[in-house]
Formats: sequence, structure tokens, C-alpha cells
Amino acid sequence: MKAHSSSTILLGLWTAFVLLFLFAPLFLVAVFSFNDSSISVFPIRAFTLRWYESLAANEAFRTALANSLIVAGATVVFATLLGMAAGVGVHRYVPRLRTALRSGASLPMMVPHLILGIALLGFYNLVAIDLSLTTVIMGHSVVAFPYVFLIVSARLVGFDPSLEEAARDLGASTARIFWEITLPLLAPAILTAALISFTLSFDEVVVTFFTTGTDNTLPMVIWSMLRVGITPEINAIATLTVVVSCAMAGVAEVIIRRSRLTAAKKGE
Amino acid sequence: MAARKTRQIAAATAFLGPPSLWIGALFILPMATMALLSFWRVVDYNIVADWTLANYERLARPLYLGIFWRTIKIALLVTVICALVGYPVAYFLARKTKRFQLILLVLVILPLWTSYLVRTYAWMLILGTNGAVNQALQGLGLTDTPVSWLLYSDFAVTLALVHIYVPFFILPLYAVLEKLDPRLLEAAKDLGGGRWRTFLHVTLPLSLPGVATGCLFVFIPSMGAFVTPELLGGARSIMIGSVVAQQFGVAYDYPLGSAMSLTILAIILVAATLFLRAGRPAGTAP
Amino acid sequence: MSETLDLNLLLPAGMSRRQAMRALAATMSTAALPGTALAQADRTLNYFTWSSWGERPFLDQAKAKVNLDLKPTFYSSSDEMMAKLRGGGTKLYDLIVPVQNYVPLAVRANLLEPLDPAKMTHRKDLFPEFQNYPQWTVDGKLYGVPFVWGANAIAYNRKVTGDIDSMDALFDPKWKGRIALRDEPEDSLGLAALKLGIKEPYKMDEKALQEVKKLLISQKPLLRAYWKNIADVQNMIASGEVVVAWTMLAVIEPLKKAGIDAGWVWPREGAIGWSEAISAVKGTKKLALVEEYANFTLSPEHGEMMARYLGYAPASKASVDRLEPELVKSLGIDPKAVNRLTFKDNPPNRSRWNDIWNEVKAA
Repeated sequence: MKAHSSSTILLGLWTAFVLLFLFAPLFLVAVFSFNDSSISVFPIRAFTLRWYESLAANEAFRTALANSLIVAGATVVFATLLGMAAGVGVHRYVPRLRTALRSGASLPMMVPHLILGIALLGFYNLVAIDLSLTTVIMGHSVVAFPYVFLIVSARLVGFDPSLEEAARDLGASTARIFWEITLPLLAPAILTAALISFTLSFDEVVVTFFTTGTDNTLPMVIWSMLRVGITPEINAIATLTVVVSCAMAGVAEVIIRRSRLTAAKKGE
Repeated sequence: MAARKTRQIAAATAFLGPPSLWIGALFILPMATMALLSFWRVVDYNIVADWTLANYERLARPLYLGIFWRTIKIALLVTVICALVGYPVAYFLARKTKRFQLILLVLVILPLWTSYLVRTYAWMLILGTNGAVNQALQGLGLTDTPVSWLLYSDFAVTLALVHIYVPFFILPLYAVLEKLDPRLLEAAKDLGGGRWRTFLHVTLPLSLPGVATGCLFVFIPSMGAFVTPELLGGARSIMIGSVVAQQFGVAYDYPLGSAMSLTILAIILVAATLFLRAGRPAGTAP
Repeated sequence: MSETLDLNLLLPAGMSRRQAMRALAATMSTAALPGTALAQADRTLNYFTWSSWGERPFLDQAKAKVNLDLKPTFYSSSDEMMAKLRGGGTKLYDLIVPVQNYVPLAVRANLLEPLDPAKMTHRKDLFPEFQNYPQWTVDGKLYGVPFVWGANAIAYNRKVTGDIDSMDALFDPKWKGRIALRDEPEDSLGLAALKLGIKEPYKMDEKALQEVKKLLISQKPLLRAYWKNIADVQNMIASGEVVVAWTMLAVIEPLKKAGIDAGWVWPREGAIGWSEAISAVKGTKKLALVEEYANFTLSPEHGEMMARYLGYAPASKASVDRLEPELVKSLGIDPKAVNRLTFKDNPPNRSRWNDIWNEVKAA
């Protein structure tokens, strides 16, 4: 152990402070969600689970949760399949355009969700597509697509093409090569992409706001509760969504970062 | 050989066709629709394909110019604060800690994946008249009456946007800083540059691409922010995102809203060019 | 940009193929395709409405008395109602609750379906003033019969402000930072016009509009917020952030229940009136059910429940007859008082109104 310099200690303290800044508000919401009081102010009175119980009994919440799971699940399927196909296709068939296409495919990431949402609304309107959960799923798949594409592409960059070529020389069909070689190699990237797509969709507010019909997802329930009257049930829903997102993203992140860091250390 | 070529094309189509169609139909077409709409107009709740520049002329009124200008100011302020707050964190994570690197990194990034609606709402609890901050101030006897400018103000919007987007700044900067060659930094130190000088003359310039990307990642969503100003801005802090949303959700003026959206995209494009040019490492060709 | 946007960072490794596939399969299995919500029972109505009319007691009563399942979605301004209907809402909703002055606009935009007057059997129980209220009939066709009327006026926290009888309170520096107006041109420009003594606010010319604008801009430093939704203003009064607000009556009962000494007054300068009715959305496949519910909202029992629960004035005399005289008095349910109200109307220069309002807000 070498002694830390004062600048390192200062930087460490600053980092701790920023982390506190990032988490304290979320923590506060969680604390209030267990507080036995109908208003979200200090002092904390007593521990209770009643806000969660009243949520469980709340039909609007249960429906919205089911809708959110359906939308996120479908988004995972569409975004992952399409993003993966695009990643593999670009890598294999138009490698020279890879950089350009990567920038192109990340375009939807460069457009604020608000603008994506209203553009979709205007489009659905003009071509007379009725708003429903299906239109929400279509929108979410556009939001998630670039993430999947970039994750898959990045994985393929380090991928040795001689494996596929060897298989082809041995007479394996394209489909067989894909199933037996490409897909297994991509599996970890696909899993990450799926988790990230799920989280993106599960938390999405603005695109949903403009493209949903009469069905609500969880963030829409939070949004309308914020406007129809703040009850501690919001704290409970908020806490639940944060826990779900953190769990999903946390698993993905820990796996990735650990592998990256070990790879980096090995390389040194 | 020809058969193989055909097979290649068929396979390429199988892989690239569906995603191209999907993104074409649900991203390119909607954006094109928006561009078209911005040149049309609304008569008695009907969108009429009547080519006009009237929507853009309306944008040039002091009313909307003012809102655009204040949005740009807030977005830039948020970007600068994120850079000041986030740089030391990224630096610490990338260069100063090995033992806690993984856990700290994950902790910084996790909030990025949590709902920004929830994070915005959290600030309502903190900054409201009976919120945590006012309770603390009153409890400490620093003020008798609740401080009212905390919530529904530029302050609230800026603070919450910084909170929401600072991980977006840290992440790309961290990626750049982590890849810096330690030997370069050692060499600079050996040449007699102090810690500060090494940072200022070597690390900082080399990290500029990361700073630029981070700034862009913060500036873009701040420029299009809608949920946060809507919930925390109140009457005094209107941002253009709310006005756009209003054209679609309330005023039924899709053409004006589309013209505003295209203008936002143009501002983003200009900002992206400027940021990325400023962030080009010294010595690289333009 | 894509070089520094380093999503390589996201890549996991060290997971076996089988693990990965299992996880993927688990994720995918949750992705059943969404069935378009087919109405199982044929008596479900998609109800696009103000939050008050979608509250539990109204839904429960509809279920219990006329066996209708109302599925509410809310709007918080007339413009929002129009925009959402026009933006695809006609495919989503069966019935709405417009304010009277938006009926001709909605009819012109082809958003409403006329109702069969013969089915409005409770219409005869209404106060005569409301049986043929203007604007609900367009080109000889009936688009609604109002079940409720009311005023937008001043709510205040009596404990803080004492009794109030004038709009001066909304412009009083004493309540700086604790005043709220509504984020809606008809209400806010309208009340400012009344304050300036303008007799017919909805016929203001440009000069009058400029005066109104000046007044409202001068008031801005005193304001806490322009509220958008009735819940916003209710929260602000309940939390003490606001002590005087221009709002609807519906905030008062919940505030009293929350222990706030909430007062309500039509200021002597005047107040803004409105009536609301059930209207059928263009193309609804359930017109008969909508008519059934529209008629039910005119019934004595619906009006009575509404008056007791929200304190709103029923248009039905038969409903009012069921209420205790003291309650009637305290609610100010006096159809004669209708004359003291300035009813919402469509300004001929509506887009000017919107511009002026936006200029006030941005000032």
C-alpha cells in the first residue's frame, strides 16, 4: 500500500460526494415509500408496507405493470433481433461501411426522445395507424435498436473472421455457420443488449406519452399520478421501478465491467 | 461463382433488409413526415398540405426566440456544470483507484439506467415548500418562511438536469481517460512537469475528445428536455420542449411543433459540430 | 463520434452459451404479443374526461345503476381534449365531456356524433335554463344536455388570508409567491378582463387584449405558478405553497377533508361560468350506450351524488330537490345566479388569445 496523495484523497472525496448527490434523492423516495404517513415530509414516523399493499390492490397499477412487461418484453425481442441482424449483416457484408453505418445507426440516439415521440405521432396520424401498445412497442424498438446494434458491433470487432471462413471452406452452410459459430460468440452481447433494451423500454416516458392509446405503462401511471395528486403510492411505484432497472442494468454492468477490467489488467 | 455471389446477396438482404425497413419506416419516415408537416398549416383542426413558411416565421417572433434562447442557456449551463462536476469523478475512476474501480464505476452508471421521471420526482420531494431542504433550513433556524425559489424555477430544472445527465458526461470521458498511456504521463512527470502541469499540458488536452462527447451527450437531451421542466419549471421556467409538446398534446398545431423540433435538431447539429471540433485532440488534421 | 461513444464498455464476457440462451429465453417468454383490448363485455365505454368525472364514485355508480363499465382517460384542458381527439382519439374513445363553447368547434372538426333527443328522458327534470342551453345544439342537432354547471372563481386558505370577496387578492403583494392562476387563456385572460371591468371578455378587441396582457404581466412576480391540472392547484393549496388561487370548486371538498380551512368565492368583479355534458365521439360503435349514460347523468340520483361528493351544482332541479336546503345554500346552487357569471365563449380572434397568453407566460 502506498500512501495516497492529498489530491487523490480530494478526488476520492469529490467522487463520494457526487455519488451521494446521485443516490440520495432515490434513497429519499425509497425511505418515504416505507414511511407511515400520507404526506412525504420529515420526520419519518414509522415503518410500514401499506403503500406497497395498496399498490398491490390497485387495479390500475397491476394493469400498467402487465402492460409495461408486455411492452418491454416485445421491445427486447424486436430490438434485439433487428439490432443483431444489422450488426452481423454490416460486419459481414459491408465491412467497409462499418464506421459510417455505425454513426448512422446511432442517429436515433442523437434525437431527443421528445422529437422521436412527436415525429412518430405525426406519422401514425398521417398514415392512420391507431394508437395502442403496439405503436408504443414500435417506438421503443426504435429507441433500443441503436444500443443493440452498437453492442453487437463492438463484440464483432474483436471477432476472428477466419473461424467463419474455415467453416465455409469445410462446406458449412451460411445458416449453419450462423447458428454454430456466430450466435454462440454473440450470446453475451445479445444478453447485455436484451437487458439494456428491457430497461430502456421499462423506464421510457416521452415516446410512450405521445404514442400510447388508452393503455398505460408504469411510467405513465407515475406521470398521471404526479398530475392527479401525489400520494405515497408514487414513492412505492418509483422505488419498484428503480429496483427493477438497477437489478437489470446492474447485472449487465457488473459482468461487462469485470470482464473489461480483467481483460485490461491481463493486457498490461 | 455467380451462384455464390447471388447467395451472398440473398444472405446480406436477409440480415440487412429487416432492420433497414424497420428503421426506415419508424425513424426515417416519421422524421421526414415531421419535416413535411413543418411547411403545412392547420385550418379548423385540420392539417392542410398548403406549402408555407409561416411556421418558421412564427418561430422568429420574440416570444419563441426568447424561449429558444433560454433553453440554449439552460442546456449550456447544465453542460458546463456536468463537465465541472463530472471531470474529477471520471479522472478519479480512471486513474486513481484500482481497488474500487468496478464498484464505483457501476455506481456512477446505474442511475443512468433508472427512470428520469422518478429522479425528477425525487427533486419535487426535496425542493418543495415542505421539502427536505426547506425543513432543514427552518430546522436550523436559517429561515422562518420556506424558500420558494427552490422549486418551480430555473434553479430546480438546472439542478435536476445535472443530476440526471452527469453520468452521461462521466462515462465517455472515463473511457478516454482510462485508455491514456500511463507511460506518457510518467514521461511528462520525469521531464519535470509537476502534477498540475502534467495534467494541464498532457492529460487534459488528450482527454478533450471524451469531454466533447460527454458535453454532447448532456447537451442533446437537455435541449430536448420536456419531463423535467414540465414538472419542476412551473410558470417561471419554460423550456422549448414543453412548448413543442404543447403543440402536439394541447394546441393541435403539429406544423408549428414540427418546425420547432427541426429547429431544435438544427441547434443540436451545430452544437455537435462545435463540440466535436473543439474536442479534437491537438495536432490532428481538421 | 462513434469512436469515443465507447459502448464496447457494455460488453460482457465469460458467460456460457447455455447460460446466455436460457436468460434470453426467459426474457423473451415475457413478450407475449399485446392483444388489442377487445371489449369482453359489450357495456364497456372508453371515457375521455376531466379527472373529476372519472373518480371512483362516478364509475361505481355507472356500474351499479346502468351497468356500464367506464374506462376513463383524462384531459386537463379543452384544448387538450380537442388535440387528443384530433390526434387519433376518435379511434380510442366513445364519449367525452366538453365545455359548451367547444361543442361548435368539435362539430365543425367532425369529432362529435349527434344524440337522439328522444332518449334524453331526464331532460324535463332540468332547470328550464339548462334544458335548451345554447351551443349544445349545432345546426339543429343535439350534441349534449348539460348535467352540471359551475363557475371558475377564487379558492383561498381562510386561515392565512381571512375572508376574501374581490379579485384584488389575486393581485395583492401581501401574498407574493403564494398566488396561482390557471394555465389556460380563456380563464386567465377572462378573469383579467373582468378585473379591468371589461363587460364582454370574449369579445375583446386588440386594445383590450393588450391591457389584459399588461395586467397579467405585472402580476407575474406575485405568482407561484400557472397550474395546469386541478390536482396541481389542490396540492399547492394543501401544502401551503399557495393561499389564493383561481380554480374550480372541485378543489374545496378534498381540501376541507385534508383539514384546510378552504374558502370559495365568486368575487364581486365576476366569475367565469361553464356547463358540461356527455357527448358522443364521432364514429363510436356504442352510440346507444353513450346516450344511455348521457341520460343517466341528468337523473336525480347522479346529480345528488355529484353535489354531495364534489359540491358541484346539478343542472337537474330534481337532483337539487333531494338536497337539504342548507346544503343547497352553502353550495350556492341557485340557477338565478347564472346571470352573474360570464359563460365561456369562443373569441373570434382565438389564435390572438393563444399568442397573448404565451407572451404573458414567457414574459
